Amino acid sequence: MTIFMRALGQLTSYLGGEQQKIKLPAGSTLQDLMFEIDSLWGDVLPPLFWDSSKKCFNPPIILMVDNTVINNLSTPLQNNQETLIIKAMSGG
Amino acid sequence: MKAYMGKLLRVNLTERQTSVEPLNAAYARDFIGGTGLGIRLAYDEVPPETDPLSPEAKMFFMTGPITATSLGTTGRYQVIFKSPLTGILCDCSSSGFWGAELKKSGYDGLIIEGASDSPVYLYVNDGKAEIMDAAGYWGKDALSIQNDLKEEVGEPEARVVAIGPAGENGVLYACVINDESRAAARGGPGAVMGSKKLKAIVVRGTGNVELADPEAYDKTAKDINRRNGTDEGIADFRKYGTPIVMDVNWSISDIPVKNWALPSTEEMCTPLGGKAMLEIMPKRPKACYRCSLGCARHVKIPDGPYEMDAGGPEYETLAALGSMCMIKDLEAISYANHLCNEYGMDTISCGATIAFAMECFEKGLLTRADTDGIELTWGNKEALFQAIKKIGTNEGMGRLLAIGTRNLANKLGGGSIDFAVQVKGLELPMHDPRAGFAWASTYATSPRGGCHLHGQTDAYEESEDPIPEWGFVGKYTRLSNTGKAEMTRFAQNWGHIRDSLVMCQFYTYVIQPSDFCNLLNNATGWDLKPMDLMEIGDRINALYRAYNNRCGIGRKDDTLPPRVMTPLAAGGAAGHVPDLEGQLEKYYELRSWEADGKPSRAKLIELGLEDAARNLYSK
Repeated sequence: MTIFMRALGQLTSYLGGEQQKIKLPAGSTLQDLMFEIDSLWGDVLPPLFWDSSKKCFNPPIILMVDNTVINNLSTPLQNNQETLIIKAMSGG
Repeated sequence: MKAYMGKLLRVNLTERQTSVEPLNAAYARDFIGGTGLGIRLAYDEVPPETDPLSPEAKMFFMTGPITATSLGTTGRYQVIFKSPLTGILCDCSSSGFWGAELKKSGYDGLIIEGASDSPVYLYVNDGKAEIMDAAGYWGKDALSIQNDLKEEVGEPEARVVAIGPAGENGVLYACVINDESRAAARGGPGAVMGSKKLKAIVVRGTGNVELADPEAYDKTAKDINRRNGTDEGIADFRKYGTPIVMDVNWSISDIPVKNWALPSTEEMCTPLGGKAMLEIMPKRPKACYRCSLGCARHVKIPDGPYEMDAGGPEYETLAALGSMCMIKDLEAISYANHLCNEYGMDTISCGATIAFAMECFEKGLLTRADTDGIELTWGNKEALFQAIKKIGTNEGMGRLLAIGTRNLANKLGGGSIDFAVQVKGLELPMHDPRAGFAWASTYATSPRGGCHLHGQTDAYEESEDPIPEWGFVGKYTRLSNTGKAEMTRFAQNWGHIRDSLVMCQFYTYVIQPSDFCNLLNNATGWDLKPMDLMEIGDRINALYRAYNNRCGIGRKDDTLPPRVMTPLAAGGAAGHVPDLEGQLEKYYELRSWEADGKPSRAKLIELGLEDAARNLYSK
């Protein structure tokens, strides 16, 4: 299946741009997407943002699927779903 | 007193006299400087019943113990005054260089009192103070006057804080502007200056700040400067400035749209974002005093209706004048921002009031007869410009809008108070409490009214172990009420310490309380520990609140407007609203506030505020 992975802000510079199509086996979960991110960009993501041992983003980075923040990485993904990876900005 | 100049300059405009008085060392120890010290002085000198625009009102322009040192952003200053917009005590802050120049001129702060019978400006040069005639500058904009006054005094290196026509004309959210377009904006300090016929304060200083351990201080400062210049977590602010918030925070519905009625969308927000600004407009990054971040934007539009070459809009401005009014033209908003700077107006309150008026116009509460024939409709750029100009000159429709949303809603009625998005009369800043629940108790209890700087809780939402040295640990998700009252107290105290040392919020993203302590201890020779700062934060908050209690503020005022307690229909925060009552219950307990909203007598005494305890509990 295909997942449309979007990043906003500076994360785009570590994740290959603003939007990527990621191919995953049917039935994959958010954790599988994290494994894929690790294989593609794990070596360029700074430790501040990426926990290479747990294969997940560090707080305060959040993952959103269809406009909802998802904290449970075992959440199944659906074909053509959009995932959003953001570090919300503070201040201004 | 190491790190302090040890002197305050008192300026009586009625008598046209100046005098120098010693800084109270005990106050400095208990309140540090900046906001803390200014609140303490205001509590002593400005009775709560004082009319903010009367000669009896006072203004306190304060620096801090680390002002004008090797740490970046220590060119800032704080202004403390009773707000004509809210009727309660207010403090606001500006960056740039003016604060450093004031301190190098020999003073930790200025106390402005009385009122002149004709326009004047104050000129302070290495300790010598003069009250100068400013009749020829009355009516001048707040930007160009800065160079005019530098030329007049013959000091090109001088720094100027000035008001524009809005301050002269009594616009209740008029600000003061310094160093091109930096502003101490909120609550109407420009109106207070205008009521005193004080057009500007020009400062020039060549002195040095004597530190207790300069070598150790510089080592700490250098390390913090380095972190601020390289930390990955704030890289976007270095590259794009605060407008980057537009590019990112739409996704969580943090950005208000159409007077807080709609969720933020990518389509509305990104045209106003940091990337658009970087691509479309020629610019040169601007940095404040020794800052290694350099977030300020400079916009140059060479020709056309929006021709300008001046300071660019910050995030708050882009949202207030832009998405709130349904305008997504970056050049138009840059121009509108420039107009506000020339007139000298807080862009948050100005934009929020215009957005509110647009909704009133849509609902028929305002008509063309009220708006001088202007179609005050959503997305109408020309109407936005006209509104700003009329507010700045306080003419026609401007007279209605110059009083802010709460006053205007009270005047118009028709249920408009429900969508007048303010707390205690101060328009909310551009972060939605439905998207980050800690904003609820933060906005409701912030000492000066609806404010994001006296408790920048969004810095801690979704973070892990935000301030372990203060015992603030754990992880807090945005759309949960758990731990949010605690978060608000920690963030407010952090803000009080930051604004009392007088440094920039962005610099504090890379530090912990022990860094504050290292700076303060090496500067002053004190031996403060991180938890001592927590207590000082509690003390400042309690005295600030106690003053405002005497102005009539209580539990009934710690609330949020119905508009932002109504769930959004779509977007990243759809269907969610914070539990304000639950947060407040816990917050009151943490602050030891009584049910009526006063700090308890015991707490005030514990914090060394016996006079405040006597005043609040005299009966």
